[in-house]
Amino acid sequence: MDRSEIIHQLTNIFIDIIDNGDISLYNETTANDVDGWDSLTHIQLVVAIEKHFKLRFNSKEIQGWKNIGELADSIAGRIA
Amino acid sequence: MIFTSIVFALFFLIVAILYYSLPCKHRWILLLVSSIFFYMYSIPAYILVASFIILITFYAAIKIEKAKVSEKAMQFYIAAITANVGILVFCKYSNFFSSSVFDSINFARQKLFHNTEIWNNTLLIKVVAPLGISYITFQAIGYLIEIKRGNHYAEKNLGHFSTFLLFFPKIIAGPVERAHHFLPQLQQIKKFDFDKIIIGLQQILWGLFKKLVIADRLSIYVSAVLGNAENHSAISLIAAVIFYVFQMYADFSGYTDMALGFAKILGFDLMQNFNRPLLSKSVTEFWRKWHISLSTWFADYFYTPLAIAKRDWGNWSIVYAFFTTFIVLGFWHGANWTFLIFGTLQGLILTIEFFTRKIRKNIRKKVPMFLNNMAGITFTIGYFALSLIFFRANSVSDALIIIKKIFTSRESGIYIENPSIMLFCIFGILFLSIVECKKEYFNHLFTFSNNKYWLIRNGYYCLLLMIILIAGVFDGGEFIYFQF
Repeated sequence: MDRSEIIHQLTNIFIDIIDNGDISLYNETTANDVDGWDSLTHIQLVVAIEKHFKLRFNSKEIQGWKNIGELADSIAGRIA
Repeated sequence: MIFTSIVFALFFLIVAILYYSLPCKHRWILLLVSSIFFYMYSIPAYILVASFIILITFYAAIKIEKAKVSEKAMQFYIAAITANVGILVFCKYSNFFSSSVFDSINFARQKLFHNTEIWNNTLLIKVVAPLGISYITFQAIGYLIEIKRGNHYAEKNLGHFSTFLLFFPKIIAGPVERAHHFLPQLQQIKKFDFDKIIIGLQQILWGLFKKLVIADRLSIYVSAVLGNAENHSAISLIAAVIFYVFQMYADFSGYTDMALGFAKILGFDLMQNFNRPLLSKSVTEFWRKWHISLSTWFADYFYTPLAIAKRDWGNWSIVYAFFTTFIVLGFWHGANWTFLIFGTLQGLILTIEFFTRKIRKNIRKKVPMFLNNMAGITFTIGYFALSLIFFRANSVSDALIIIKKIFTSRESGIYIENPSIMLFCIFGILFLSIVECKKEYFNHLFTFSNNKYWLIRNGYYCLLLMIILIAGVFDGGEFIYFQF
C-alpha cells in the first residue's frame, strides 16, 4: 500500500470519527488544520486506525506525530 | 510583591531600564538576579526549595540525555520526577494530611473509647507553600518529560535554565511555560523595540482594568452575598454566583494580561492563557480556552498518556482519563472536598458532552446558529457557575446551603446595599462582554485598541486609564489564583 492510499484511508477514518465530511488530509496537515481533531478525538482516531490497519502503535509514536505525513510513515513502516 | 502595587511598578521600571542598558548577551543575568530578588521578597528562605528543584531537574535532564542505556536514563527520570512531585505534594498537602490524621485519631478516640478530650492539631508545624511552587514544578516536570521523549535538548547553561523556571512575570500564577518555547528566546538578541513595548503597556493597562475595575468591584458584591448566604434571597445568590464567574475570569485573565505585558516589554512572548472562554458553546470547548497553558500541560502529560494506556477500553478510556485528570486538577487547587467535587463535576459534564456529541451536532443543524450559540454559551456559563459554588465555598456543606437556597428559597428581592456597586458590577460585565463579543464575532469590522489612527487608539487607552483611576478598587488584594 503506497502513502497516497494510506492517506486516502486515513481521510475516511477521520471523516467517520470526527463526523465532518469536509476533511481533506495531506502530508503537512496538523491537528490545528482539522476542526474537531483534539485530544479527545485523537485517542479515538488512534484506536480506529489501529483497528483498520491491524497494527499497534507504541505510546512514544502516538505522542510524537507532528503531522499526517509522520502518521502515514508510521503506518507504512508497520505494514510494509 | 503583586503586579498592582507601587513597589512592583518601581521594581519593574528599574529592571526594564537596566535591562536595555546592558549588552544583549548579559541581560539574562539581570533577569535571573531580579527574578531571585522578586522570589525572595516575601519569604527569602523559600529560594532554597526553588534552587533544589532547579538543580535536581537541570542535572537529571543532562544525565537523561547522556545516558546510553535506557534503564539508566529511566532511573534519573524517575528520581527527578519523584523529587518534583514529592516537593509539590509536601508543600501543598502536608497540612491537609496531618490535620486529617489528627481528626481521624480524635474521631476514633471519641467513638471507641468515649474520650471527649480533643487532641490539638496546632501542635503540628504548618507548612506555608513557597511562592509559585506549582508553576515551578509543573514546568520542571514538563521539561523532564520532553527530554525523556527526545523532543527537547537538555539545557547546558544553569543560569538560562534557572531563568526559565524563575522568570518573575510568570512565577506566581503562570502561564505554565514550555522549555522549547521559552529557552530559545533567552538566546535571541532583543533590541529595544518601541512598538513591542507599547503593545506590552497596552496589555498591562487592559489587565489592570480587568483586575481593578471589573474583578475587584464584583468581588465586593460576591463576598457580601456568598459570604453570608443564609441571609440572602435566591435571586441575590444567583446574581452573586454569575458575578463570581466574571470576577474569576477578569481576575485571572487580568493577571495573565499583565504577566504577558511585562514579559513583552522585556522582549519575551509568553503562552496565551485565555481565548475568550466565556463565549464557549460547550464545557469541552471552555476547557480548551480557559487556563490554556495548564490545561494543555495536563492534556499532554497526564490525560493523553492515561487515555493511550487504556485505549483498549474504547470510549471508556476517555471517560477514565477525563475523571482522573479533572479530579487531580481539582485536588491541585487545594486539599479540600470542595475542589474534588469541582473537578468531578467537570469530568461528569465532559463525559456527557463526549457521548452526546453526534446528537448535539444533529440538533445544531436544525436550529439557527444564533440560538445555538446563545443556548451553548448560557449553558456553559451556568454550569461553570454551579461548579464554582464548590470552588469558592469553604466546605461542601456551605456550598450545598447556597445551592439549596437557590432552588428552594421563596424570598423575593435582590440585595443592593449600595446601588453604585451594583451599577459598576453590571457596567463591568457589559463592558467585558462587549469587548469579548466584538473580538470573537466582529474583529474585522472596527477596532479601537489597534486603530490605525493615533488619536482613536490612544484615546481608547486614555479612557481605560481614566476609568481605572475613577472606578478602580485599589485595595482589592491579591489575585485569586496566587493561592494555587
